[in-house]
This record gives sequence, structure tokens and C-alpha cells, in this order.
Amino acid sequence: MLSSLEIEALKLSAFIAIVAVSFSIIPGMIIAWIISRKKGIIPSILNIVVYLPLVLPPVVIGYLLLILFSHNGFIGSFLYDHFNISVNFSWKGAAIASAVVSFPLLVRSIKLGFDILDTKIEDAAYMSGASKLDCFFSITIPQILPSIITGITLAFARCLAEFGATITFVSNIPGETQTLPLALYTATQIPGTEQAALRLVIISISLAFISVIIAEILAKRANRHIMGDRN
Amino acid sequence: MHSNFIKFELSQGKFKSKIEFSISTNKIIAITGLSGSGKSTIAKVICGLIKPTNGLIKLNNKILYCSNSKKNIPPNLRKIGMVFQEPRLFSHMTVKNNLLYGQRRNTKLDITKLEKIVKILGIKDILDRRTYNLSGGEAQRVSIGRALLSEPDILILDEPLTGLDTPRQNKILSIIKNINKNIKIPILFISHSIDEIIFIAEKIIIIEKGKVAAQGTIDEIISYKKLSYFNKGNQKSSLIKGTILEQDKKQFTSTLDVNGASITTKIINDKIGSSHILKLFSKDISIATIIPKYISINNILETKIYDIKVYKKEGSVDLTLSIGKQKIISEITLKSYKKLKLKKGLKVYALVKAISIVGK
Repeated sequence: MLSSLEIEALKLSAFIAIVAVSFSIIPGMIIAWIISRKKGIIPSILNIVVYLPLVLPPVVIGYLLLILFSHNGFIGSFLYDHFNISVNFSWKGAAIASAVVSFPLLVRSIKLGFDILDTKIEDAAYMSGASKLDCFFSITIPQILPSIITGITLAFARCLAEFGATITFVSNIPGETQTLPLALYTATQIPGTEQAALRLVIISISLAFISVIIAEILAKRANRHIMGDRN
Repeated sequence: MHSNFIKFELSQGKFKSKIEFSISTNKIIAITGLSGSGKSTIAKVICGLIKPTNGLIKLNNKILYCSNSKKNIPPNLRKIGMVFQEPRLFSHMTVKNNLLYGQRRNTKLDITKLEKIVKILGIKDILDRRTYNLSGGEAQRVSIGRALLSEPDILILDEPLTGLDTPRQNKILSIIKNINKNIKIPILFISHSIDEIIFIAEKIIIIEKGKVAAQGTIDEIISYKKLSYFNKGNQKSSLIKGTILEQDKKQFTSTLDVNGASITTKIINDKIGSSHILKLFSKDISIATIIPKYISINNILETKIYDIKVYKKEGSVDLTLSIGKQKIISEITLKSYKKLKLKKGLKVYALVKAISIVGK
């Protein structure tokens, strides 16, 4: 069966993906809302910046993160000086890399939800005496829940698949930053570990499969809750 | 000053609006006008969804907006029950939770009030259902219920019957009348349909190009010349008032007196001497210069041509005909108009094919 190193990689992958996505949800929703509902130059620029990781080579992102988060870097020096936190060569860095790379998928899905939601329904809530914030939580979020779920699962799946930015940013350290794809990469580099590589491939495919299926089921359920059986 | 008073000026690009009217407590007031006249804008301004350039909006003696004192209460605190063209229900909630949404946010939970309104609206059987499989009529009734349960100082309905079939429209109109009887709040009913407003309203405000063109009771606005164009699908019609002279129970007809002319309609179940409003579609009125002898049409009225409007492109002519002080419009073809050599002031006979009784 799986070796301890492979189990560790699997656990680490899941852990990093969960951390990355959990921290992305709230900023992702805020940014999706701004891009969808606000007009002007700032939302337009934000829109482009948010989507950049989707089209940039992951190695570029990894390298940029390396510069920003190094002890001399803009963010890295701040974190180190004030909180004594260093993300280099640690799982925290891997989570940051995953979060950055998966962020566009999360935002895109949620933005789509905001786009297609009829704002007239929000006006109706507003006219019924709900404040804007109340309306957001009692009407907007439940109405766009299918999009939020899809965004979260897509982002989670993207985190599991993350390779380029991670290896560039935090290297390939077993037990610390070696996620499944990185473990597979290592296995392909060493002669005689074809069996291990095959196992990791199967695990990766199964994980991807399972997460997409779960995403589909959850989104369908949420949709039925809102739309009935019409969809 | 009136406890409900609305006055504002607004300019949105080319559209300019200047409105002033008051609403009597516990009455149904209708706002009507052609599409694009600015009817719905009035609702949005009262609600606070659009901010006017200046003005004063006062409901139930509370000032909601005042440009002089820079007061502008946000929509959610204005206590206005708003029913839109589309029901706008919250599809992730049950009907009951939709109804209680406003109540929870404005007052204490009051099941007795809920039961009362559910009874008026006739929606007891659908309370636990989800909103996505309601029919159009049911959904609109729920929407009215939600607005009423938010304890509003006024109920505003903006074209609430759009998209419903006639029986459902009639049902909702009766419900609105019933609400007015049972729950003492003023109702502002916005509609472009003359039939709806005559059925429902005690006072009518006609809006034209963003301004109040006429206002008053049905009797007072009946002669307003442009009223003929306020109809669904722009089917022109005229309204006239007559009093019942005679009831023929054998042939099921009533004869009414309209400024000396007599009109026969299908039987109206009312006393002799009572007055009724009749609607005559302009396309149902033909013209003859001498009384035709052998014809199935019963209502042949002697009239005088008061005004002529020629629509060359459409090939049609609108003739305004006077019967005493009242006026009706006949729409004929340009060809007939030329053939008959019609002129202003000429005596003609209006052959009225169909008449409907729309109100009292």
C-alpha cells in the first residue's frame, strides 16, 4: 500500500488546500462583489489583477512570491519584523502559493453568481425593511450559494493540483512542502520508483474525480433549494 | 397640510419630472398615464430608490424626504409596502417565511396578523410551499402579503397585474379592494389600464410627461381627452357616463341616457336612475352621414364632429364626436374619411357595435 511518505504528502496536500481555500473565501467574496457590482477604473483593474494567476505561468507566480515574501521582500520583511513569521520553505508558503493560484477560480464562480442574481430581489428585501448588510446575508448569499459552492470546490481542486508556484516558492521538502504533485515529481526523478509514481498518479486522479463529483452534487442540491426541479 | 403629501422635482437626462399630489388616508389612489410618462418613477422616488432633485415627501405625518432640511430616510426605514410588477419572491424560503420576512424586521412576530392577511389573500394552502412552483397569481398574492405584513404606512402597487390572465387580474383587484376595507392604510395603485383604475380607485391622478396632467374622482377626469389612449396594447377607447332609464328583463337589455342620447346595453343589475361608466372601443364605432335603415347595430347615436386627427402613415383617422358635453372617439380609415367628406362641426351618426360597462 502507500508508504508513510506518500500518506504524509496526501495529508499535507489536503491540509494545505483546506487552509488556502478557507482563507480565500471572505476576500474572494468581497472582491467578486466589487468586480460584479461596482463600476469604475478600480474594479476594472482589480478584475484583471485577480485573473492574472489564471493565465500567468505558475513559475512566474512562485518567483514573485519568493521575492515578496523573502526576509528582504516587501511583505516578508513586514511579517518577520512584526510577527516573527517566516513563510519560506514552510507549509504556510505552500498554502499562500495555492491560495494565489486558485483565487481566480473562486472569484470567477462567485462573481458569476452576483452577475446573474436579479438585484430587484435585493430591492424587494430592502423595501421590506432589511438593511443592506441584512439583505446581503439573508438574501444575496443564500441566492448565490450554488456559485459559492462551485467556486470553493474548484479552488480546492486547483490547490490539490498546484505544482509550479509551490516548488518555485517553497521548494520540495518532504513533510513540510511536499504535496502530492511534488511527491510525484520526485518519484519520477528517481530510477526504480515507478510503482510509487503510479500510486501517486492514481491517488491524484481519484482525488480530482471525487472533488469534482462532490462539487456537482453540492451545487445541484443548492440549486434545487433555490430553483426547484426546473434545473 | 395633508398627512400624506408628495411633491418633488427630478431630472434624469432628458426626462424631467415635476409632481405634486396628496393621498387621503385609507383611500385607493390610482396613478395612470402612458408608458414612459414617469408613473413608476413616482413610486421609486416615494420608496427612496431614486433621489429627487428637490421636494418634500411626507407619509403618515412623517417626513421621509425634504430637500430644505436635507432629510433623506433610507428605503428600508420608510415603512412602505411595495409590490412590484414581478412578485420578486425569495426563492430560497417558503411562502410563510417570505410573508414573515418584512414583519420580522419591522415589528414583533404577530401570528394573528399573519392569519388575517393569509385569509384575505386566500393563500392558506400554499404557506408551506416553496415559491418557485407558485402560479403567477399566487406569487403576486404572496408578494402583496409580504408587503402588508411589514407594517407599512402605505401600500404601493406598481403595475401588479402585468402578465396575469384576466380572471387572476380580477381576483387580485378584488383582493386589493378587500385589503382597503379591512386594513386601514392608503393604497397607491399604479397602472396604465383604465379598466383597472376605474374598478379600483376613488381618486385618479393622470401623469403626462412627468407632470400631473389631471387629478380627481372618476367623474372629474372622465372627460380628460387623452384618457382614450390609456389602454392595453394602445387599443383606443372612450369612457362615457350614463344613467339607467329603462330595464328590459325580457330581452336582457338596459337603456341608458347619455346627455339626451339613449344607449342600449346588456342588462345592468342596478336601479333605474343609477349612473354607470361605459367603455366604447374606438374601432367599434363606425360613422354614417344618414341614418342607415337595415342594420343589426342597435346603438345609433346622433353626434357632432368635434375634432379630427389624421394619421396618414397608418391610414387612419380619429374623429372626436360630441354627445352633449361628453365625447367619444371613433377610429375610421382614411379612405372612409375621404369618401364621406367629413368636416368639423358636421352632424354624423355613430354606429356603436359593442359597449362594456366598466364602473359606477
